[in-house]
Amino acid sequence: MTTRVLARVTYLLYLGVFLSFLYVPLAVVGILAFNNSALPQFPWQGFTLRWFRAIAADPLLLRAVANSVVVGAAVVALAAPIGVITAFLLVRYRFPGKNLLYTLVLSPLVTPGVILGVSMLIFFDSLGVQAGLATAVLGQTSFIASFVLLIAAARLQKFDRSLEEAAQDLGATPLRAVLLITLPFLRPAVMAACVVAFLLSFDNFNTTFFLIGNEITLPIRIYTTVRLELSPTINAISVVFILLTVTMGMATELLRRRAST
Amino acid sequence: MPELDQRDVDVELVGVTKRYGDLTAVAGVSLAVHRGEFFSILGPSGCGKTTILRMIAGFIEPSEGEILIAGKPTRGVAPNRRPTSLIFQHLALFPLMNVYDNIAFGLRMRGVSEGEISGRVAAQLELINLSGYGPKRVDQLSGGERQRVAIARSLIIAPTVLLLDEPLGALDLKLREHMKEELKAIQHRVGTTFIYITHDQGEALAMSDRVAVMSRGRIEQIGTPSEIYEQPQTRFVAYFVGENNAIAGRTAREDAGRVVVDTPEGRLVSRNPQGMEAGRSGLIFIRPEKLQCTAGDDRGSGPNALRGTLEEIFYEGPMVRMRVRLHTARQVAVVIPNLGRTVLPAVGDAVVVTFSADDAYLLPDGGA
Amino acid sequence: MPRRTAAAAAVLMLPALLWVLLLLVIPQFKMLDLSLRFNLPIEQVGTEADVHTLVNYHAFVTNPLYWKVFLKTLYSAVVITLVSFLVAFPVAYAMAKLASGSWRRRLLILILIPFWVNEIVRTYAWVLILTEHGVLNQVLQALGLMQEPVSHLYRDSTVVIGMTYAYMLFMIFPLYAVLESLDTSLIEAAQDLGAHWLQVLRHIILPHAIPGAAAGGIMVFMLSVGTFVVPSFLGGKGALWFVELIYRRFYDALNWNLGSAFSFILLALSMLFVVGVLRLFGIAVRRVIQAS
Repeated sequence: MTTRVLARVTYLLYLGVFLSFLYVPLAVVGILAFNNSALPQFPWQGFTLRWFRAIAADPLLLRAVANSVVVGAAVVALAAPIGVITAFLLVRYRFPGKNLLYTLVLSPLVTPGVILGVSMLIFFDSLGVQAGLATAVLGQTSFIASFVLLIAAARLQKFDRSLEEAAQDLGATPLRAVLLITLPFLRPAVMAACVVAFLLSFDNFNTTFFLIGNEITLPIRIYTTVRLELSPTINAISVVFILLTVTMGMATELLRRRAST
Repeated sequence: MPELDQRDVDVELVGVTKRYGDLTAVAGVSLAVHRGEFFSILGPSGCGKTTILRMIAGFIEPSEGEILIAGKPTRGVAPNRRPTSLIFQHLALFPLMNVYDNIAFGLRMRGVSEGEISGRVAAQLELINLSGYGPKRVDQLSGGERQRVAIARSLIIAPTVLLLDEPLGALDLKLREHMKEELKAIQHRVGTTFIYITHDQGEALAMSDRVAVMSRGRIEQIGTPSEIYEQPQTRFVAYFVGENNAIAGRTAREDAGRVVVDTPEGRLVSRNPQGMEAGRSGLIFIRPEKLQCTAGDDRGSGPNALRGTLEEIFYEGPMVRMRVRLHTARQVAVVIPNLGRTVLPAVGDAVVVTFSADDAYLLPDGGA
Repeated sequence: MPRRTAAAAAVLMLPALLWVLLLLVIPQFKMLDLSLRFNLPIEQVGTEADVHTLVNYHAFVTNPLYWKVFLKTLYSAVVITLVSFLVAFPVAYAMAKLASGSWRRRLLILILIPFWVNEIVRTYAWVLILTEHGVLNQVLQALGLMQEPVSHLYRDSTVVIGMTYAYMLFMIFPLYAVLESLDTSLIEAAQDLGAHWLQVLRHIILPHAIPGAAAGGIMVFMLSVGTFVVPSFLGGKGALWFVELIYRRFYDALNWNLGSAFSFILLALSMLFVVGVLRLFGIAVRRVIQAS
């Protein structure tokens, strides 16, 4: 009995230490965003919002956020149709070379992001294409489409084909059956995939870093700022960044839960 | 059966074969289903019955042969252009649509105006006794209600033939019994031709005008339920439909439709539907409920008497099932109705099992 | 396949082919091709002098700076992967099997939230902690454990801690997924048959967790060998990592050929790792993908 209690206490203690290890660094970032001190360090000098006001006054930062939104939207617009259509292809059809295609479309999930970035940098350069927002969009799409594919394919596999056949049997053409029956069934998964795609794009550094040229996105801007100097403004923008991505993450979680029912 | 006018045939299969690579799922099936008929295809799973149904519906094209619906060839006609409708095994009700939209689907595909649709859907809901269920979600329905909605969804497009793919399989026993009656009643009311496939002989016998028994891609026998049950033409049908006892033997002589067979149990007499000549080996089939079982070792009983020991009694409520071990160590099953007054032999008693020659029939041993 | 179906498949194939060819296959072949050429002045590119060569790979093998950094990166990634498994497993198990309904959801959200925080922000947090006037030194000084503040940054060990912090969460979720799918009655059956908890762990739980561990391991390894941010923030000039070598060839030294060779070596290492893990545990890619 006592050993059981001891084991339980040890386990809870472990979880507590683990969660502290996760949260203390983030708490440090958050607290120092409100510290009225020119450097992001303790001791506490009083509460202030001036570092948040500084964000609004930083045109580069605002531009980075705007770019991130534009890039994210473009990636969603590209990766969502590519991923969903490829999911249809891989779940529904048999054709020669299917396994090879399967391996290739999933390979970006296990390829370091820098490799994707470097290889596309070389390719676009050989075509004479300037690195910029457009190349960053293509670079991110290369792996984000794989995530969309996985989410869409998982949902599609759960789809009962006889529903589509029933629609055809009742007079719908095959295309109409897909549009009226299958796509509505996929909708929650596609919505989840779109939010995931936007989140991944918004978050991406490794691939983007090589393909962004002279432009900036939010992660790139934060990176270059940290390399330059430590400033509480970085903490403030980090807090905003955390709020944005955690909100999006919560949204994907809710959507995915709905998609899995 | 009398030769029917072509106009009376709704669905005709002529030498239909379906092959998947080396595997032949359906082998040269020919049959004709008449207008307004409740036609069942009965067979074990994997016998090719679902393949036939899906070929009629248009989801699979036959490798060989032809399927005519209302006299017209169907090769190359897509499912959505066929005058058939299929009730799927798991019904395939559209989960994201309510009852009304499910039933209205076929009419919408045909461009029928919403005004007309609402009237016709209401009429269908009445037909299946679900008036007012229109706005309900599909997952709020009970099993029986789902069945009826699926039927209404198909019937509203007035198909020439309604195809049913074991739709009662997922229901519990009580509901299944009820739905059998209901299906039959609906068919009477609408008069549409039904083709019903099932592995459940009870369903097939109870509901059908005619039954086709299938095995390994071939039709074994087509006939009315009583023909199928009382006069099986093949060993497969004899074994598959209902319960049967079989006793192997060799024909001694035959005359006037009767045949005398020498078996290890002694000389037995049975019908001879296939007109087997003397000196051939065959199997005598006799159903458990056609056997009588009496205690004792009475040598004076009639010609068809099998002697043995009562080994086990299973009390099943409406009837009592007995297992008798014959002297040759062969077992036979005997079923007697539970009339309450019968004094049953006790387990271990010597018993004599008798049957009438009219209730037994001989089929050839080798092959089908 | 009927003609209609074949036509539909061909139409659906188009975006997949564009994606795979233009964004993955051709760029990586271009990279391989570039790595097999001399670093020539721009006017000589494409001339007769532009021939295939192994000079860049030769440089990698012969220059100890390069391969030592490579080996350090590889070694660290393996260590981080193993540590992540050890740290993550009890947490994943607690989530999957010990916590009841509402607690499981709460724990899941508590772990998901930091997971959604950007890698750069998470690494920046460690800069604030480990820098000379950072939180760690202030705590140590306040406790009287340290007199003179020293920076903990720019060390290999710091980089390893930062990476573990940044990537171990990628181990938790695949492990959680497989452990959740483990039928609890199997564990109970083993205990019922007299297995000690260590034996249960060894014979029931760990074998079942392998696909999840493989999926998580692959993710953590990939992120660790491929990260630029963590060594850049925490390692600086004092602790050079392989991706930084690549970056420098492209942006400082402007030797894209050598950079491509490094990139290809990293790509080959990643592929080898994936194939090796799958072989080692004898599992199919699809099971790993399902777990992740």
